[in-house]
Amino acid sequence: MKPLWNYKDIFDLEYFLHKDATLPAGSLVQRDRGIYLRHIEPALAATGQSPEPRIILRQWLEYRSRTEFGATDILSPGALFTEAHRTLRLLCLVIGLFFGSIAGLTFFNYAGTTPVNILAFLFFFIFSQIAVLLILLLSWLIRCLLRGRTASLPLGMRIMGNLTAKAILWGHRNILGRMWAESRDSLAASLGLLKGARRIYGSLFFWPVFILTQLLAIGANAGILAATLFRILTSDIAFGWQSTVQFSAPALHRLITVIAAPWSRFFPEDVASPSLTAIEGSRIILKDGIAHLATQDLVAWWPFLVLCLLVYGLLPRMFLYLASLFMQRRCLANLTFAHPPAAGLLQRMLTPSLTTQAAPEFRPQTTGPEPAPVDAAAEAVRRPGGNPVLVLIPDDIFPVFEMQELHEFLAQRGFSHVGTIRFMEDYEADREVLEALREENWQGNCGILVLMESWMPPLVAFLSYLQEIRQIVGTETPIFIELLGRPAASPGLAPVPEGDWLVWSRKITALGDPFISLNPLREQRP
Amino acid sequence: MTPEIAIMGHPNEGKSSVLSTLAEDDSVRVSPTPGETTQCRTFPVVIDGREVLRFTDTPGFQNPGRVLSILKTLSGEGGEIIRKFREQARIIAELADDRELLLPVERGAGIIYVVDGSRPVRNVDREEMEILRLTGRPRMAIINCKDQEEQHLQSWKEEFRKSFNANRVFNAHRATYAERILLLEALQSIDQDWQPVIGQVVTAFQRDWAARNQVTAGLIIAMLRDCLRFRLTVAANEESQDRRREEELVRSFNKSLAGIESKAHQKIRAQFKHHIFNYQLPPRSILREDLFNERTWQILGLSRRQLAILGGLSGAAVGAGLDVAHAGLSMGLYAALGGAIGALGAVLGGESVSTSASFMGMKLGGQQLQIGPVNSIDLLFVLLNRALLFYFHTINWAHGRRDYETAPAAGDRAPDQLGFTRHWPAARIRICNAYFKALQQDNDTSLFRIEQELQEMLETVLMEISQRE
Repeated sequence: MKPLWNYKDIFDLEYFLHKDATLPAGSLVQRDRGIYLRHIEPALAATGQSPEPRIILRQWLEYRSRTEFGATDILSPGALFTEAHRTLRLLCLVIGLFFGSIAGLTFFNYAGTTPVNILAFLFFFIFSQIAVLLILLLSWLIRCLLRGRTASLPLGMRIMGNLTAKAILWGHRNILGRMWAESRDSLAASLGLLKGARRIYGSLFFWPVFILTQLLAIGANAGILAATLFRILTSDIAFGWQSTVQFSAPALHRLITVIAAPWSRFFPEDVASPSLTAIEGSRIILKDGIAHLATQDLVAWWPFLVLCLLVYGLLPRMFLYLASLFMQRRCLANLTFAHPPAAGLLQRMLTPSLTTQAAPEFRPQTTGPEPAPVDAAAEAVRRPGGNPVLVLIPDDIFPVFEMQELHEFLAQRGFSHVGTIRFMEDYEADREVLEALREENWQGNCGILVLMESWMPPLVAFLSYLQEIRQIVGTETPIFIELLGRPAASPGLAPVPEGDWLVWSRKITALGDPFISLNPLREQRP
Repeated sequence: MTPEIAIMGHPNEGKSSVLSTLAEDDSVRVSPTPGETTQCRTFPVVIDGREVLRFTDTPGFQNPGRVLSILKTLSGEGGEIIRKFREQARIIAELADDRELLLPVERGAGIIYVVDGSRPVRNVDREEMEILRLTGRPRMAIINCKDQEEQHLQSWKEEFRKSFNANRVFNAHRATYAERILLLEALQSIDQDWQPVIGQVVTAFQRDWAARNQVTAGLIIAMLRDCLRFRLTVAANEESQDRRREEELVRSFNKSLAGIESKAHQKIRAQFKHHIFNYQLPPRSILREDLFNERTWQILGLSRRQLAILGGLSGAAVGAGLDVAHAGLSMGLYAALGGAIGALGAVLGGESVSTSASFMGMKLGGQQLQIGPVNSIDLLFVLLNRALLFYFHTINWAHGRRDYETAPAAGDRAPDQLGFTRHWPAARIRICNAYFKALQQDNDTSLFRIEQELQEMLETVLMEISQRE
């Protein structure tokens, strides 16, 4: 079955989510709930599909793409990616073919004096490819090994790890240390974004690149193969072998037999690999010339060479290409969309609007079928009062922060309040808070909401505390950081200044944790 | 061992700004992004080739709570527990910044703790203060209000009383020379051992400042001399009747004077160690106006009272020139100068110009067309006022300030609209007039004597401007 999501959709979804991140939450709630009620719910009812998050998100995306890109000639980011990838695939194949055939034609150049050197052929076209495949296999094995275990790696790998860490530290001190803090933070934030994308989408974005390299290799191998066949068919080529090191013909014969093992049983013995006599008969000693060598020995090599290219060059690449297509499809089929921006969007669509005036606006103006009224009871069962959150409030602002205000705000955001913890009193008290968090059950959909003052720069202490919390609550528990403006600036909740916002968002993005989201508290208010 | 003072505090509170201003070094990295400083950087105070004191800039505290928690578990004297802490923190990557910032304290440095007084006191601040108290080193707190708000000042001061020997408000963005000296003097009081060294530094700073003022006064006098004696002569052939050519001549005369002025200003700027700041002054500043702009002259010329003083003193020497100058101002100076030459050409009908013809300092004679020297004393006062204004802006642009592009006009306290000489007493005006007369008469003996007087007077004026808070 074709996966519900494809690359175009994912790029477009991320584009829209990114765009929405800068819009005030109030208007988003209204818009997304509207889209759900007017377009998604009727469509789901008509087709009888179950309201799964993936399907709802997909429908939302279709609607947004239609309204944003449908009427214009502008390609959506997703369409742009798809187009570009298609072109690149073709380009890789053509470039591979071109260079492969050029290499093949140049290599099989025989003017009647010096036969084509078999050992050089094996070295350049076969062994090098086998080496690349082995490296690929090895890196995959290491990755599997690292994924499974966290401690006690083999000594060699530990040393490698230590060296890498040292190199990173050195780089941080000597290269990053010289950068302005702003550039340093931006760089860290960009790396964090990549890390975050990996956590949401896994290896999804690796496969398109891998596919391109496979296509390049397929093209190159096909090119060499075609050039070889072309030369063999259209000109007479003599193959021979030579070496300064005096190794014997039987030794080479053994090596050739091993190389030919994969196909030897499917072909007659002389075709699968040259016989010992043929090998002995095709040894070249330059000072003696080739006149005395028998022609049947000199041409005995070609089926072996073609089979080598096919089995060690073209077929593995085709296998890898098909495997990466499969992996890509598997990744697409397993997408969960649990990261906060997507989860927030789902919540906005599925949470009934609290204002009474808003509902009529959402009614369609057309005479089409009336959308089924929202089954508020059913939603209440699914989300009793919204996602529960445990609120962490710094000791400094705990006394001045009014609980009533907090409850109002949580209700507005579709959260339900499960408890409040006072933190940042001192280091020891914060340890106790971590212990208290450890006691909680984080299996459900409960999240954590942290209130922070935007005008206090995010310290390493806070960022590492966040990471400690993350380790306790599990990788996918949402953590919401709500920023407060400077208290004296205006009565009530002051807005977050742009500079402070930038500093915070860079630091939080640099954590590379897609399940931590940062919001200004002020904008959530009407 | 050279005494060392470490500037410490929370990230982004203006430590580097304070240091940059104190050390008059605008190469210190200052930015609105927290965490700009990642390594300690030392700024030595060298007097006669000998390092007598050093200031050290440090990164901000990143884990005050954890540092304090560890320090409490350690025993020993202040310096000893810091050494133990740094040893213990060596393997904890998160504490890298905190470890680095305590390095000068381990070496025995005194502490200037910088806070942003425009925000409220928080737990992390109390933890930092407690850490500094545990170090046992002499320490002083500086309240550097980044915003104009001062409502939290009192609560900061109360906190400081618990763990600091002294505290001062010092705005790194607006600190004048006088405030810098006051801060240094205050440092003397927090540790008796420091008194002789810091006393020496203060004296050296004061002498250095006086020397800079002396050079500046000399530069201003040289500029006045060059400008007021400047003349431009070209051969007046047939084409000289071409009005456009005459206007060009006036333009080039004005440009030359502006060039002399600008060079002198740059030399003054170099005196005060400004490398980046280059007068992106608020648009309304008179310094950004053209020297020959009508407005410049109106604002910086002489007051009615001063004109009366000059009129009584020198009569004709000033009179005629001033009249023309003021007529020129009403029409715009370019028009006046250009028009004067053009009109003259028309009256004389292309005949050779009389040797005695002179308008507005432009002597037109024979086959030579000569402009200058300017015979209006107004130019002297305009140039003088502009030089003093330039000096005022230069010394009051704190080195820790980096908002070159966006400097708010409201923060500009320069008396642009008045001119420094507006309220000068008659004695000073007399010295200026005597100097102007000496230049006109080209009398070297009296010029030398009067220049000495002017130099002394300008040094006093510069010091007065420096002392303004």
